[in-house]
Amino acid sequence: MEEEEIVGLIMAVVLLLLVAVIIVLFTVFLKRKNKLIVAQEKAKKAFERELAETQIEIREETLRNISWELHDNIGQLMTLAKIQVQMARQSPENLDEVAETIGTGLTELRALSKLINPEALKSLSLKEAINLEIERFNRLNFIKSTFTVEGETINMDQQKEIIIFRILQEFFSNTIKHSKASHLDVVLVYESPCLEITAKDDGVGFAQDSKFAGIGLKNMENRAQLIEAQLRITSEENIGTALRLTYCIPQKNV
Amino acid sequence: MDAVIAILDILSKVAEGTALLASILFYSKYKHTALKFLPIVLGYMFLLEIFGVKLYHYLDFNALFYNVFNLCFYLFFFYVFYYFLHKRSNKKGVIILVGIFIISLIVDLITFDFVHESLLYSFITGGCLIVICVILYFLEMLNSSRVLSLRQDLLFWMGIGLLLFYMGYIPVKITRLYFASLQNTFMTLQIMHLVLIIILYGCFTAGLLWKKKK
Repeated sequence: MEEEEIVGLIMAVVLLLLVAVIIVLFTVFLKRKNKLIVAQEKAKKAFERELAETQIEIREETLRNISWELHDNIGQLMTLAKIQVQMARQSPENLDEVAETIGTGLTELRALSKLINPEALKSLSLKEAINLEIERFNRLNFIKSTFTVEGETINMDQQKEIIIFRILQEFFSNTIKHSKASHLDVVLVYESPCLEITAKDDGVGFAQDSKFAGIGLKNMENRAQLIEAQLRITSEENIGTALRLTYCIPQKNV
Repeated sequence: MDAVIAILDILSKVAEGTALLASILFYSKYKHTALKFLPIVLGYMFLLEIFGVKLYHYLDFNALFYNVFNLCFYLFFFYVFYYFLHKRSNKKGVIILVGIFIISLIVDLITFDFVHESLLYSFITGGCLIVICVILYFLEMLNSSRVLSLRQDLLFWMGIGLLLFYMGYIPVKITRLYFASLQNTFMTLQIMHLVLIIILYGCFTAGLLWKKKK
């Protein structure tokens, strides 16, 4: 073979190799991109489904809470006012007390109506929503609760806030219904770009293999996983249960 | 064939100049990353392309400047890939590659005259190692969501350019060593070299144009 022919052959092979590299790169990247887009679409749909379910659950819980509040708080005040009016027949000087009770009832009613206004509910931030829950627990004497916020509030995606709120609401609901706790402490720490929530009760706790540990915990964990938050629920019998949720806002690649 | 080479020579210089111009114009897009030294590297390369031959006439040697450029070019891209690779094992891999490159450079310094001769082993080794870095970067990209914004990824375009350039140019360089005696052979290799330069800097320019500002 002549020198020229050898060089020509080498160059032809190199050119073919380069073309092959371009085709392989194009195919591999395109295939991977399409696969990722499909996976993202799937994840998005799952998230939307879960979000809708969460919103329905929150609405149901809100309705349950309103029913409770109407019955236990405003209903009680109205009953008291009725008794006071009946007693005022004998001693009309007590009418002021009646007016005061009805006034308190009205204030509670206004607060409730403001609270269940869909627009107001929609614009609530996570911090405000937790605060309202804690205030309600204290007002209705369900459990002595405290709520502390540390750090500067971070603006978060509202859909993620809804999911986090529902996880907490489920935890609170379990605390009130099953734990027999007398205290509930909630601490919310903002440390950009992360948010850490700790909720602790001093109830009876539960064994790790109990029903709550099974279904309830799994439900919360699934939701936490959906928004890529870390959730840890620890419980010790007769000492209490603690929830620790950490969510970091995803940072885009630099 | 001379005319083809002349046209390709002009086009390659235009491609290099355009890449340099784009790197300066769009500096704000990447100034916060390891690529911040890109205009310096491209500027050095462009000056060398324009004044390389004149330097030879004036000083009687110019290999020193090309050797320094190749050294800077490789070290710059090792640093860039080290910065952009996220996986720890890959970062460690880049450190090992730099070690291999330094060994080849030492061998070159023993074998060749750094001032008057072009370094060979470190050039070929460096080229192969850059190809490995590019492959590592592409593999990382494929396993992350970065694959969704390929067009806006500057290093993806640079990686394509570097991959094609070195996969094409290393055989050219080796072939030149053995078969450069005939004028026609030399010209074929020269055409290939110039085409690869146009592809390399064309990819750099495309990446700079499409990259989104962060």
